Amino acid sequence: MNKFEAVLLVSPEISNSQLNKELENFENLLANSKGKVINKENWGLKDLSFSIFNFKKAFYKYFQIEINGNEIKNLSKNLGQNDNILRHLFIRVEKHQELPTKLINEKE
Amino acid sequence: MKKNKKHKYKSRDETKNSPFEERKRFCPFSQKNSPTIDYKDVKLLSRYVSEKGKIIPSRITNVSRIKQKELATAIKRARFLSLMSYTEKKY
Repeated sequence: MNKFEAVLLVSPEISNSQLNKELENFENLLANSKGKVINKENWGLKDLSFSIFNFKKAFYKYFQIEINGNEIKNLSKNLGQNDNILRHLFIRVEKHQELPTKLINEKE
Repeated sequence: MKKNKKHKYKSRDETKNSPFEERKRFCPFSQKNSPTIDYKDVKLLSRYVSEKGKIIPSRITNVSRIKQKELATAIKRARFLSLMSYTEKKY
């Protein structure tokens, strides 16, 4: 089971309830491909450095997950088809860093 | 037999610390308690980016080759997630 860091950029147009629904189906996707979420972090609504699909802001979600390596391909395929998720990034790491991450410290 | 003239390199004696002296250059990431390179640490990464948002070469920032490669991939990941801009330096 490899350790991954996942960052999701969710479009700012959707309501809060739909946002939670998006996260649930992301976790269901993880669950039925035998992965599990170690811990989550919400970087909140940040303004983008450049406009993606002409949105100026996006919700940033950060996950630390543990999943089999070859499940990542169809996982990112599903995320790609989803319109609400603008961008996603999976990064393989040796060990999970402890939270809060650097982005959260700057906020306080 | 021609006695080969041994070049005596000008040894840098410590007493003469003139500003134009060749300062000891060290890599800021391979010291004992140097920070780790992370694509989420935008404040650290934007120190190694020029005003136009380009990565500063390692011959100027004295970063070692391995750490410069990690730095470049971290900056490119931060740019992909639009935490950092491609064309300007955002603090």
